Amino acid sequence: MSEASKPPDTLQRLHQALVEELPHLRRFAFFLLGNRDRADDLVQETLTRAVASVARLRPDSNMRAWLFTVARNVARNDARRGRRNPVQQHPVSGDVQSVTRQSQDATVELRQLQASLLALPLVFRQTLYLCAIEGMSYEDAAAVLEVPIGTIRSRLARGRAMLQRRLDGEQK
Amino acid sequence: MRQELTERPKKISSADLQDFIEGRLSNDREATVQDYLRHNPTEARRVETLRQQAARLRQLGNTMLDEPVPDQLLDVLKRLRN
Repeated sequence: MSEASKPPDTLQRLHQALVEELPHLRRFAFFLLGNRDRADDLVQETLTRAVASVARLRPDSNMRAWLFTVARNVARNDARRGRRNPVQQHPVSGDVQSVTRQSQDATVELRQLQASLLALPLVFRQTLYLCAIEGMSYEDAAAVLEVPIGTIRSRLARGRAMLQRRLDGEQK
Repeated sequence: MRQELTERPKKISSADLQDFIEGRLSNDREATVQDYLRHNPTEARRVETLRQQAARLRQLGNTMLDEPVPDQLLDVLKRLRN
């Protein structure tokens, strides 16, 4: 079904949602790629792709999960073509912004946490992002990552344990 | 008949513990897990560490949501709407 044959309220609903979802989409893209500029490039392409694919959006779709699925597919296709490869090592420092009101210690701690999370393999990083940061249901996370719910649960548990080992290692 | 002073906690699965860490249990179930953890200090320490990690991850996420969206992306939205 083309965009033109879709009831106009679906497109309207999408445009409305894009405004609301933009901060979430940027955050997801950042944790996928570990780099702000490339994350915003990914977001830009995701927005364009989402509007072009509005015909595939069902009225009962979870908008955020749908947008994240689009973003993940764009990122995967780019990675296959050698563009925007996810950064797993040495993430850029200074990524935790908007923390001027917080104490220096808290900022340093959040930066370490962010760097530790970015250092995890992609499958654990994205599962932790969706479930632990985005607070998505296991069902929605499973839909975004196209894996069974049991896989989400085990990756979440393993990802948390791996992250904790990294954090504990840094304190020594 | 004399009532038992310490009631044995009901069976707790690893899925219960995970959902407790993730804050995804009903109040009833959460109380049951807390009761279990009171009797299992080693497990309680592991779970508490991961609960703190969970809280810090949410905090990290919140600081990122507060960041302003670049004009370049807002322009893309405007262009797509027209």
